[in-house]
Amino acid sequence: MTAVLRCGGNAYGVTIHAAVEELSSSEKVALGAVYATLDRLEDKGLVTSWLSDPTPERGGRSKRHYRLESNGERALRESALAARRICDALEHEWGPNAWTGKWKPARPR
Amino acid sequence: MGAQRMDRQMETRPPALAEAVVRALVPPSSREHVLGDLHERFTSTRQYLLDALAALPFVVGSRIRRTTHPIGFVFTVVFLWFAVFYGPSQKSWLTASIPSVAGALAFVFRDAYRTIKPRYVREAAFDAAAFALAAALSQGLVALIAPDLILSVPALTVGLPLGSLVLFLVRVQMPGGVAPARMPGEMSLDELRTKVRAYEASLRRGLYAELGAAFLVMAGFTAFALIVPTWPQKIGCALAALGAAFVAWFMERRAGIVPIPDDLDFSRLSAAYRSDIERRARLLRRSLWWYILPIILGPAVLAFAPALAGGALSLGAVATFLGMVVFCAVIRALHRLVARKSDELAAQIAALKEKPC
Repeated sequence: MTAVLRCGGNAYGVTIHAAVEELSSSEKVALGAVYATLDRLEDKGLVTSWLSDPTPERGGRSKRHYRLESNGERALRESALAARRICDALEHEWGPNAWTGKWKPARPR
Repeated sequence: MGAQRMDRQMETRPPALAEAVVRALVPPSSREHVLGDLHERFTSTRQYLLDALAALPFVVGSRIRRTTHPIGFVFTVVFLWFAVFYGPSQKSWLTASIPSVAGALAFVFRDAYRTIKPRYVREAAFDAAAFALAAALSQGLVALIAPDLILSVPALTVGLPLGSLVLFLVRVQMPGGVAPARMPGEMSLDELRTKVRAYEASLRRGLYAELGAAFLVMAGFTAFALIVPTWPQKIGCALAALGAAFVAWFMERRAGIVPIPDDLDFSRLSAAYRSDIERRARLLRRSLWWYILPIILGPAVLAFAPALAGGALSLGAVATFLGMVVFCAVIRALHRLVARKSDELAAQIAALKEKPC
């Protein structure tokens, strides 16, 4: 959903896949996995899709464009807030070095 | 050589053969955008094919998830195994399982790869043919690999054609391959009218299929009642025929189609549409007494007929009865699922707003 939002008005398979790979940074994501996820999001009413006009650079085929719905925006906001709470909790436990990779668990007394 | 290599480096579109193969493998509903995306990402034939191979399982899997419900799949397998293949005296459970699973998988893939056309009877006939073909092919393979596991002659000559006929009727009633679609938040009056007419047409098809199936069951069991030798068997056949007649009568009487008038305004039309859906959901929730009990009673008497005629109660009779109970439980689960989906649809209709002109 973040990738769909990030692509704005140009959200379709290829651009969403590129955005997902950019967001996941280290992980390689299969294009098919993006389609399957988008189908699920559409079934849940979180995104909607429509076919554009055919374009020559795609061999005369259409793009399936996606747009985030209001339900999707709400769900995205909720999951972002949950992620922020998790981050805060981790920083509280691990201290300021939580995101540097230098953290070591404390020895049990 | 150099020129050929140059040409290969400059190619900007996938080879026609590779594209044709990928096109054939991608389900029609996703074909347009998936092929377009693969085309756009094209850098070399190898990369194109690897991309397509990596995407295909997800695309097909996602389509299967949308078009096949697990309960529907279990229902098909249980029905085929129990009523079509295992019933006519098999040597082992595995003998009946192979064509049952092959037939059900044929349905799953046909649903995933079909294009939705409003020719329901013809499509249902193709579904039944796909099932029969898959079952026959599985038997061909079994004949080559393990001849001991081939179906018995009654199962092949009676069970398979009768099973195909029943599946045809089920498919006329419930066409496969239809992905669940949410109601849009807004609709114009004409769009709503079209939706209501399509709903009534699907109900009519379902009712005719149920009545046709009931007629076949009545005719079949009445003929059996004349042939079978013992009284308990005759009573079982008569109860089965009467059960089918009761279901047909009840459906015609209580679940018959009352056409929603065309001249209603938006709010009245949506209210009438919603109320009809809710009425049918209530009927489905009570299907235990008007559908399941009448259809199980006769076959249950038939299963225990040898014991009722004075013989010993066999393990086979108990197993057959338990099989029927499982089959009915699956039908009940299917009814409850449809009732739940109907409630969801009714809630969406309640929230429906008229699209401004």
